[in-house]
Amino acid sequence: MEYIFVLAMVGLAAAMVGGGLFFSRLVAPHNPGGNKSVPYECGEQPIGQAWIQFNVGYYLFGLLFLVFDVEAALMYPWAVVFRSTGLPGLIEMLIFVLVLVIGLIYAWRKGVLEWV
Amino acid sequence: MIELLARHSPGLPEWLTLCVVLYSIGLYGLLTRRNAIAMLMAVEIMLNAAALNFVVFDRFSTNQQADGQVMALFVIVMAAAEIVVGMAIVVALYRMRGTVDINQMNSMRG
Amino acid sequence: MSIIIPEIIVLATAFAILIADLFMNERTRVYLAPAAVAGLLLALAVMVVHTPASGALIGGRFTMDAAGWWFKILFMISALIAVLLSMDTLDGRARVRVRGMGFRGEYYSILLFSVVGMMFLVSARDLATLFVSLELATLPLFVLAAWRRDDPKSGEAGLKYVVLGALASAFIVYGFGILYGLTQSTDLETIAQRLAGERAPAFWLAAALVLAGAGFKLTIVPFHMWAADVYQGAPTPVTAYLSVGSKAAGLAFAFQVFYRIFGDALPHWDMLIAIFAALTMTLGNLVAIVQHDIKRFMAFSAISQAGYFLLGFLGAAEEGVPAMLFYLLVYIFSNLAVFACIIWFENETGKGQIEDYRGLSLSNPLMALGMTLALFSLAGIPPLSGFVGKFFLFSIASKAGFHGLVAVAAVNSTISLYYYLRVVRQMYIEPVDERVPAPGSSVSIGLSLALLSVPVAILGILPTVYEGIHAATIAWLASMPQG
Repeated sequence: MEYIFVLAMVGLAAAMVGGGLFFSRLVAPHNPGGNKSVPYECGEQPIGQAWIQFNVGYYLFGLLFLVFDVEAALMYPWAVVFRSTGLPGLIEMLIFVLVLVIGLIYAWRKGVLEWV
Repeated sequence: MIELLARHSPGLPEWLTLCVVLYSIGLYGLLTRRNAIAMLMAVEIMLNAAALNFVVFDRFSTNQQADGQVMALFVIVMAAAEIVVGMAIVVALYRMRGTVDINQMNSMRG
Repeated sequence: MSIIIPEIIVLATAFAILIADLFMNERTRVYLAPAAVAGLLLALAVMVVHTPASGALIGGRFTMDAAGWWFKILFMISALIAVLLSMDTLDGRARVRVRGMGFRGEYYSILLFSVVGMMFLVSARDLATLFVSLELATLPLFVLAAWRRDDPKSGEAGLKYVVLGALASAFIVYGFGILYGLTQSTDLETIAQRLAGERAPAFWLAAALVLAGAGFKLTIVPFHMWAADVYQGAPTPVTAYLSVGSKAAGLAFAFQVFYRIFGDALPHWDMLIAIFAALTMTLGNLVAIVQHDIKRFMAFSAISQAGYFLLGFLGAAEEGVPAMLFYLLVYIFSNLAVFACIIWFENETGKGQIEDYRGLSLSNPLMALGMTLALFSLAGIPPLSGFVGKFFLFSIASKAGFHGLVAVAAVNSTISLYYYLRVVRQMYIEPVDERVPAPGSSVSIGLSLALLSVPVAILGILPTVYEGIHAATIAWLASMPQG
C-alpha cells in the first residue's frame, strides 16, 4: 500500500509537465516562422540537411575506437583476478596489448591517425 | 500494477523471454530490411540477444564460475569485429556502386 | 607446450608479414609470399616431426588429438597451396592484370590468421574457444572475398558473405547459450555428459540452431545460398582457398559439434542427415549442369561434394570419421588442382567461362591434363583418389542401411560425371578456333599443380595414407567423452 505515494508522485509529475505546457500554450503569443523554426535560434546557421554524407574520416576513427573500446572490456575480468594470476597473467596481458599495439602501429603507418 | 511489479522481480522465464524477443526482432529486421547497414544492425541485435542469454543463464546458474559472463564478453568482442569487417565492406561497396540496397546486389546470376 | 608451437609459428609469421609490409616498397614486397610459404612450411615440419598427437594446455581448453593433427596438416597444406596460387595475381605477373588486388602484406597475413583460427578450432574444448576460433577462421574470409576494391562483384560477394556469415554466427552462439543454460558448463566434455539423455524442447532448439550454423559453414542445402555468389564474386585465388579451407573448417566444426557435444544423440539423427545429404548433392548437381561461369560451376560442384561428406556421419564413427577425413584430403587436393588451372587460365587470358577453355589441350597440354585428372577425381572415376574416397563414404551409408540414399548418391555421381566432362570436352574435343594464342606458363602455379596431381593420382592406390588416418581416428575416438 506504500506504493500509493509513488503512484501519486507519478500523477503529480505528469500533471506539472502537462499543466506547464498547456498553460504556456494558453498565454504565450503564437506566431511561428522565420528564425524560430531553425534548430538553433541563437548560434550557428544550419547549412543544408542533416542527412548528408559524413567525411569518411569519422568512420575510420569510429572503427578504430570501437576496436580498442571493446578490447578494453576484455581487460576487466583480468583485472579482477589479477592478484591470483600473478606474473604469468601479467605476461599474457602484455602479449594481448602487444597485439593491439601492432594494430595501432599498422593504422599509424597507413595514415589513419592523420586527419585529412 | 506498481505493487505487482515491486513484489515480483523478474525471474528466469522473463529474462529468457526478453532474449527471445530481442533475437526475434533482430531476425525479423534482417529478413525485412533491404539496407545493408540496417541488416548488419539487425545481426548485432541478434548477437547481443545471445550475449544477454549467456549472462541470464550465468545469473541463475548454481555454480559460481562466471563462465557465462566471460562468454558474453567474447560474444561482444566478436560482434564488434564482425561489424567492423561488415562496415568496411559496406563502405567499399558504396564507393563502387553508390548504393547499399541489397536488392540491387544481383550482378551475378547462374 | 610443444603442441601449440605450429600455431604460434603461423601466427608469428602473420604478424611479421603485416609489420614488414609497412616498411617495404613495392619491389621488395615480392618476398612476402615466400615468407608466408616459409612460415607455413616450418609449421608443417614442426607439426609432422615434433608435435605429439595428444596433449592438453590451458587446463584442457586447448588439446591435441590424432584427428586434429590431420585436420591441422590439411589446413596448412590448403593455405600453402593458396599462397602459391595467389602469388602471380598479387605480384602482377599475370598477363592479364587483375586490378585492385594489391595490399600483399595484408593479404597473406589475413590468410594466415584464417589458418590459425581453423587450427585453434580443432583444438578447442570449450564453448568460448570454439566460438572465438570459428570467428577467427571465418572473419578473414569475409575480408578476402571483398578484396578487390574496384570490382563491384567482389564487394557484393563480401557483403553477402558477411551478412549471412554473421547470421550463422548468431545461430551458433544462441544455440551455445541454450546449451550453457541446460548444462551450466562451457566445457565440451562436461556438456556432453550432462546432455546425455536430455531431450527437453530447449535441447532440440539448441541442436537445431547449432546444426544450422554448421550447415551454413559446410554449404548444406538449404543453407548453401551464399556459396554461389561468394565463389563467383571473390578473387579467384581467394575462391580456391575458400572452397577448401572453409569446407575443411566447416567439417572440423561439424566434428566438434556432432561427436563432442551431441555424440549421444547423433545415432538418432540418421534419417535427417540422410535427407540433407540427398538434397544437397541433388540440388548442387542439378544447378551445376546449367552453369557457364567456371567459378560458379565449381561452387555448385562444391555444394554437391558437401552432400557426399554428410554420408560419413551416418554409420559408426570408427568408419565414418576416417572416411570423411580421407575424402577431405582427396577433395582438397583435387579442388585445388582444378583451381590452379582456373587461376592460371584467368591470369593468362582474363577469361572465366567454361566455353573459353576450348582447345586448351592443344595450347597447353600439361595444364589440360592436370585439370582433367582433378576433375575426374572429383567425379569419382577409378582408379583416381576421388573414387576411393567416395567408395568409402558410400559403403558407410550402405552399411548403415540407407540403400536408397546410396542409389541417389550413385545417380548423382553419374550426373556429376556429365558436367565435369563438359569442361573436359571443351578442352579436348570441341573444334578449335585457331586464333587462340598460346598461353604462357607460371612457376608457382605449375609447381603447385604438379604437387597436387601426384596425390590426386596415387592416394587411392596407396593404402598407407588411409591406414594412417584410420589408425589416427581410432585413437581419437578413444579420447571421446563416453556420453
